[in-house]
Amino acid sequence: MSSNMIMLKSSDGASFEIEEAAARKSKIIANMIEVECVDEDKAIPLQNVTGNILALVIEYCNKHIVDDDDDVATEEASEEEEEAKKKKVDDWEAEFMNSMSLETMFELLLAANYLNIKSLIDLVCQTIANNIKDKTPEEVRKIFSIENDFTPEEEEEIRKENAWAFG
Amino acid sequence: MDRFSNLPIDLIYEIISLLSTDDVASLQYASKKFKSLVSVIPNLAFETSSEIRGCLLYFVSGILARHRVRRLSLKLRYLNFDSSRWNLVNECLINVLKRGVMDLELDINVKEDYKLPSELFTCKSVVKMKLGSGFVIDMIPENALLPSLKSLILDSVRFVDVDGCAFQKLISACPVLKELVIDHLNWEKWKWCRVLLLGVMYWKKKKNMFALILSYLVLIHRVLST
Repeated sequence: MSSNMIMLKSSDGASFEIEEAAARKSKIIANMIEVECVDEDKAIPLQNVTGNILALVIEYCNKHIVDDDDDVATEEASEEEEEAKKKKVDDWEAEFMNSMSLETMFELLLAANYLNIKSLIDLVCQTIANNIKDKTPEEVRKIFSIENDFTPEEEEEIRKENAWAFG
Repeated sequence: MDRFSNLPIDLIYEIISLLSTDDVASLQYASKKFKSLVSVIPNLAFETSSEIRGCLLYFVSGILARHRVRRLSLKLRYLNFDSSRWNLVNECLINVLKRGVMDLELDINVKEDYKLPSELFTCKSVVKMKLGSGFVIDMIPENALLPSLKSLILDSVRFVDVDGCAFQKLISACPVLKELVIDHLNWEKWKWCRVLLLGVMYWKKKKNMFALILSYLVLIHRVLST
């Protein structure tokens, strides 16, 4: 199966080649292709995405375009196979998200938002939410560098109000 | 500058929407900014009696505002609502289900057909759920999954789906269920032990990576037929 290749250019000038089918995961790029404003010889400039983040986005898109192809090919797949495949994708996504720092994760979220890749937005949001799960306010502050701007009195008040949440 | 500073507000809300109400509380009390973003209501109860019937709309639209509810108890009995009002009730329910409710008690007893929102069976956060009298469950969605549900109390709930496996499906969708209480059922029509076993087996076949831990099972049958 031959596939058109598209060039993407990051804000810091790095160029990436990507299959059109993978690039279409981004609604923004898909729209650009629809209205034919993509010149085959020219790279699409993405001013809000740096090269290292764009590489991650492309890694994600490539992985998921392969999965989508599989879906078409094995429409008759059994329930077990479907589950196994879903687990494989889940495992890959877990490892993909595990491999990056929290700082990268937030940059990736902004890039996914800018490029409008819904499934990637969902994945990163869920991973960030998982980082908040079962944490105390102090831990949340530490993880996300949030400055505590409550006075000790206010904090005591909150503690009283919310005894149910903080044990 | 915290990590969230660069994010557009809708992405922050997207993340918040994935949190249980307890986790929202932790974020909320991290700083004033987050406290202003969302408010948490620990316990919200509404019960119909003739005097306060008119308050339902006010109550429902109050929840629809940007609130999080930890525990919701909704008791609506013998109301002559038209479908648009029931839609509003369900809209409110869906909202609460999507925003991390942990303890849900529904007692909706009406004459006409009332349909529970399918979101009830895909809620990630609910830990304890009590469904009370007169519910008819005719369909459990394919993607049903209640990953946090530990305690399920069914009071006079009828399962009347076409292929007869709604109950199994429901039990199969609860991987960490510890307590199941079934109260007041048409005992004659259900062979519960068998149904339960089937439920467990069905579930194990589908998701063989977990094991169902059901340590507490209560069946209460009040109307004894002699």
